[in-house]
Amino acid sequence: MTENKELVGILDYGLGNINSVQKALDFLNFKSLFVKTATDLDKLGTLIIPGVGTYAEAMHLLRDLNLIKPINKFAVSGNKIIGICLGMQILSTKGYEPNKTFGLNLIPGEVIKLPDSKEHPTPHVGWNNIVNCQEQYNSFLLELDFYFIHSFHYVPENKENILCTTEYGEKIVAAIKKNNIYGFQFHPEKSQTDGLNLLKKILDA
Amino acid sequence: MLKRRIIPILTSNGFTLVKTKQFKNPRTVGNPIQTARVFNLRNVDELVFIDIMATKQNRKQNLVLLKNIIKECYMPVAIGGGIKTLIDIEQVLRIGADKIIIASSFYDDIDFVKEAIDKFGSQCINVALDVYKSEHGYCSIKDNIPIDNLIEKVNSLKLGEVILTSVDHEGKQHGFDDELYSIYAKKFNMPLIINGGASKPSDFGNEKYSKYVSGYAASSIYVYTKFTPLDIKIELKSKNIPTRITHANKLINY
Repeated sequence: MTENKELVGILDYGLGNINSVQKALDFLNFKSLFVKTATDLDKLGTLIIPGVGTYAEAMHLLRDLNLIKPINKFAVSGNKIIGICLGMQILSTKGYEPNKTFGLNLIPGEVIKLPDSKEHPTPHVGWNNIVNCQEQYNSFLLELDFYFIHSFHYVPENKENILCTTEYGEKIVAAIKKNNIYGFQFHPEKSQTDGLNLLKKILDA
Repeated sequence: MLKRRIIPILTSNGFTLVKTKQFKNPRTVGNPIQTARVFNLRNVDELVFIDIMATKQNRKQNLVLLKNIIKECYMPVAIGGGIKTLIDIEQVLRIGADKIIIASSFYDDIDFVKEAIDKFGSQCINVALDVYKSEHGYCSIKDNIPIDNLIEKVNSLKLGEVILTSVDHEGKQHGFDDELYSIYAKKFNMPLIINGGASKPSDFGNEKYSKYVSGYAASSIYVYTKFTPLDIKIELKSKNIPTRITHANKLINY
C-alpha cells in the first residue's frame, strides 16, 4: 500500500454532513480528502459516502458530477467503500424516495419506506441497539447503541450481505457488507465512542 | 429497542449561555463551548442549541460560535434560532449540525418550512412549539393559536420531530407539565420531544404519557442542580423505560 492510499476520501457531492465525517477521521488520526471529481479517486484506498437527503437527489447529483461509473470502477478495483445513512442506501439497486431511482448497485437490494404507525412513527430517530450480527463483528456491534435517523430502509436481495440488524416495529437492516463494500444505516460518526471504535475497525480492516 | 433520549438544551444570547424562566429574565450561566465539551464527555444522547435572541434581535446565528460548539460534539446536534431561509439552513448544516429547529417561521412562513423539508429531508427539519395555558386552554405563545390547530398543522407536514415546550413550566423547576403531555402527547404523528420544568430525575418517565415521548429535553436541571443526564437515565431504567446508559466515557487513545 502506498502512502497515498492511506488517504480516506469523503465524497462531497452536495449532500450530507461531510464535516462530521472529517471530524471523526481527524479524531481517529486518518488523513482525509473531500472528493469532488473522478480523478480524486485515484489517490485513495477508501471512500466514505455520507448523505442526508433523498435517494433520487443523491443519484441525480452523482450523475451530474459524472461519478457513478468511476465509483463502480473504484469498487471493482478492490478499494474500500463505506456508505453512511443515505450513502449506504444508494449502494443498493434501486430506491423509491421520492420516486423510483436506480442506485449504484454495489450491494443488490431495494430501499423502501419504513412502515409508519402510532407506536413506531417515522422517521426512526434515536439510539437503537444491534440485535443480530455476523459473528466476527459481534464485539463492535452486538447490543451496542448507535444513532439512527431515517424514514427509508434497505432490503437486500441476498441475506448474506446483512452485517447486522436492529428492531423498530420490525427487523431493520442496520449494516450491510459485500467484500470491500460496507454500508451503515446509522451514523457511526455521531455515535460517540462506540461509533468511533466501529469506524476505526472498518477503516483498519 | 429504540431508547428514550435525554437531551440537554443550551440556550444562548448569541454569545454566552443564558437561562430563562418562562422565557423571561435571561441569566448568564456559562460558556457554550465548555458546556458542549462537558456534555460530550458525559455521552448525552443529543444536544440542542438555541439562540433565543436571534429572531428578536433580527440577526443571524453566530456561525463561528456554532462551529466551535459542534466541534466538541460526537453526538447529534440540533440548532435553532433565527433560521428563516434555505441559506441559513445550508450554512448551519455545512458546519456540522444535524438538525434544524424552526419556531417563528412555522407561524410566519409555512412555505419556507415546506421547502426546507423538500430540500433537506424531513428528518432534518424540526419544529419547536411553545405553548401556555390560557383561559381557553393551551395555545401557542406566538399568535395565540389553540393547540389542536397547532397539532393539525404540524401533522400535515412531514416533519422530523416536534419539541413541545410548556412556557408556564419553563425554568420553574416544578416538573414537566404533566397535564399538557397527558392530553396531547399522543396526538402527534411524528417523534415528540417534551421540554420545560424538569428539576429532578423523578420528573422523567411519567407513565401516563411516557410511551408517546421520544425524548426528554431539559436545561435548568443541568444548570442549577446536582443531577446529570446519567441520573435521569438510571431513573428511567428503574421505571422500565428503555434508555441508553453509558458510564464514564471510555477514553481511548487512537
